[in-house]
Amino acid sequence: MAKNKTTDEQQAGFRFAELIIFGTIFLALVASVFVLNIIISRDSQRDAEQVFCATKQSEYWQRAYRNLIRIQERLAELSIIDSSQVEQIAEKSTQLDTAFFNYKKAITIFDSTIAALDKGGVIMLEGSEFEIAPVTNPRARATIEKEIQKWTESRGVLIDLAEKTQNPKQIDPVQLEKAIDFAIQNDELILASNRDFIVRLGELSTEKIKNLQLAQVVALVVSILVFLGMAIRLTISLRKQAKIIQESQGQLIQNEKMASLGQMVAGLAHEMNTPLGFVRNNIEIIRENDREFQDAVIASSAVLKSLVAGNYNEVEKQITTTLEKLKNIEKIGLIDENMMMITNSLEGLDRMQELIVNLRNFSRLDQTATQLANLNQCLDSTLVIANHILKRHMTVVKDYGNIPDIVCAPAQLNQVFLNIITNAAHACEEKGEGVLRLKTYVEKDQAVVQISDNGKGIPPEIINKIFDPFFTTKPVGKGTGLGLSISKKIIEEGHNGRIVVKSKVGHGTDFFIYLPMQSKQEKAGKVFSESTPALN
Amino acid sequence: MATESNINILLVDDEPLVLQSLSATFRRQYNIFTATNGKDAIEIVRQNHIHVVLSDQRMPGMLGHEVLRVIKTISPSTIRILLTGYSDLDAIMNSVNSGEVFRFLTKPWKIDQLRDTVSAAVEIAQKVGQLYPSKADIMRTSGVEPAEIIDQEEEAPPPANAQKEGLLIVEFNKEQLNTMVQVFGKKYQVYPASSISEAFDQLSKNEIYVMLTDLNLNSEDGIDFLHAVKQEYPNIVIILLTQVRDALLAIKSINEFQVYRYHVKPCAVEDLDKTIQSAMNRARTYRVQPLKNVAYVAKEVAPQLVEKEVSQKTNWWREKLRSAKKLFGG
Repeated sequence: MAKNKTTDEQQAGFRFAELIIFGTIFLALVASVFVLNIIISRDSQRDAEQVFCATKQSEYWQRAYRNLIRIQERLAELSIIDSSQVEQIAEKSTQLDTAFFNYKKAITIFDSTIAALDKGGVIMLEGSEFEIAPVTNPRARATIEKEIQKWTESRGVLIDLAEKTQNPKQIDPVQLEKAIDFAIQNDELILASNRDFIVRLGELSTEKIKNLQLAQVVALVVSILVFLGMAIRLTISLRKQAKIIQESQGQLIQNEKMASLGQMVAGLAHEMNTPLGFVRNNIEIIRENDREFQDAVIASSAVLKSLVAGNYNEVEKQITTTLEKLKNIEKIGLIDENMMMITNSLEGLDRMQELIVNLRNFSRLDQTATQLANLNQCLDSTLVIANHILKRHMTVVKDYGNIPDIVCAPAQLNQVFLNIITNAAHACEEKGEGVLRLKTYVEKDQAVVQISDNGKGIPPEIINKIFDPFFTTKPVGKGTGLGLSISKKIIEEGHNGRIVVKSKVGHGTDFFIYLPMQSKQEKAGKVFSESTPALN
Repeated sequence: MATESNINILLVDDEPLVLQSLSATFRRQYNIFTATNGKDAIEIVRQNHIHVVLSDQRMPGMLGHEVLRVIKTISPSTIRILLTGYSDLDAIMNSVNSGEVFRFLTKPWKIDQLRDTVSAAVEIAQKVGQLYPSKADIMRTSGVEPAEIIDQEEEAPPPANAQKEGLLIVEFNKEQLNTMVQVFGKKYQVYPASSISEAFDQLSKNEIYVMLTDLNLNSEDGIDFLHAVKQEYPNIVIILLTQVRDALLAIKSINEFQVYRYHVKPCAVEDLDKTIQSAMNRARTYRVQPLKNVAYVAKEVAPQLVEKEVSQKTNWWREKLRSAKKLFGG
């Protein structure tokens, strides 16, 4: 038993661990999808920023390029214009200044975007700061690698031009030439690289989204599988559990049966012991007395023989001793005693026979389960079996009505009666004495057995629980708590009857067992239903 | 049925046929009184000098051992015999611990055994009766309700001297033995023994008042040893510690070794302490007034009953104990 318990506990432990593992996997999957989502959305943000950066880069490159050309044009124009045309010179100078200023600004921003995409960094655009992550994806990087390389080579020319020139009019024409050469040669490349880069990033992000979708689908499928697995495992283990519970319940019901059998055997043994004891003793006494009778008979026959043989010398002495023996027998009352012992022994034997008959009636082991039986007789058989429990402190009052035999399972009903009677005896134990009243009567189409005691009663807060399996007020090990629940089952499911309890604390308890009687007619094959509707 | 006998025996059973049968068994030797319930029985004991009472255990109203307990207080010299089925261990435990039954007889009984037991009881009663000639009379006339005197123990003589009394503890589990030695060592002179041979040594060397033993009564050695001890040292009061509740063993331990108390392990130390205390009182009483010791008297007046129960092995132990006694001048 203890061993079973530990394996049960182990199993429960395993199941618990399994549940935890399943739960963890499930949660991990959900969490990983979330984490993936977050990573990818961050990536997308970074990509968007890079795209933004690249777009601005193209824009500023074009601006720088345009302004560079404009600077050259203005310079050329200025060199042609007459110094007298002051107004025109001023206008062109202003335009040159503007172009140079724009060029300077554009090339600086362009430089910072190139650096940002290459190594990461902050770019300032229209007064706002943007932090750009370096391009790390090799495929994306490949598109701008050449641009970066070219720029890094010639960057000095263009930046120096912007930074070192104080006055745009005195710009170094060689430098300007170089810058314009670079710009013309690389304009296509820069714009194309930028375009490619943006397109590549778009492709990459589409790929990423596809991957993310795939990952989400996979995670969803896996988590559904895990969930299913968990559900299946749980169902299996619940089923197993239910089976175990059912089995142990069956075991307990069997135990209860064995317990009532044990009770019956104990009662029987006790009831048998008493008559067995005195019958045996009586027979020993009869045997002892018989020796004296034999002595007397032998002595008497010796006297007679002597008389017949005419042996008168002996006879006188023989008569004296014989008379003494006979007198002694008379004086002690051996004849009466023997008669009494024999009568008592016969009564004892009758009692044992009665016990055996009652035992057979009680268990009906040799008869079919369902049969016509008289409830009054059932109660009487049960009383014999329960006598050893009742004898000490209970007075039994029988108030049997004239009830017809009903179709029932007498052995089962006896078990119910024994159960209730035993409880009644226990209820009166504290009081020291009690009255057990057994009443039978007919009510409408039902036979009613009322079993009442005047014991301590059942408190109202537990009266609804007394028929529940395993409910018991007895100390651990004394009662299975199944007696009344089995009784209810026997009456309600086995006999289509009802069992009702009424109790008042301190006054006693009444059990009413209602059993339908119509089944008798069904059994007898007579259908009265056609003639009875008027009664309904 | 008038007989010349001046021995009165009382038969108590709720079954009249049993009473008739038992009456027929004893009526030639003794005066028979019968009662069908405990109340009547107690009344009869009040009114008459009863030597032996033979009572059924299971009766309506008072149970047999309760009746015997009351009778013991009314008339201590009455020897009490309980007739019972094997089924009521609780009852048996109760009577060991309070009724101090001389013998248990189990139903169905054998007539020879019944007669032997009763005649031994009668002889003991006559002997013990010399101790309490007046007490029974006082009880009879004073009319005190038995309920008031039920638990009144006889007063024991005070401890003989300042020396601690000897308590022999036989326990095979060394750990438990040490614990008990520690607990009881403060009050008594404790002699520990973790085996029968150690117990045997202690018995032969020291003066033991009370023996607390965890002997396995299922083993031959345990039973024989207890027999031998009770034979050779009838004044030692035996307390039995046992692992299992076993009706047969309980009956045997009372019938054969007059075990004073029967404790089922585990038991509370306080209970055990109380038991040892009252056992010590009893042991002192036995030393001062050996006639109060039914086992001792039984050995004196009815050795045939006692000897019957003794096996060869017991005799072997007894020989050993005797020679040891001689050796140590005990």
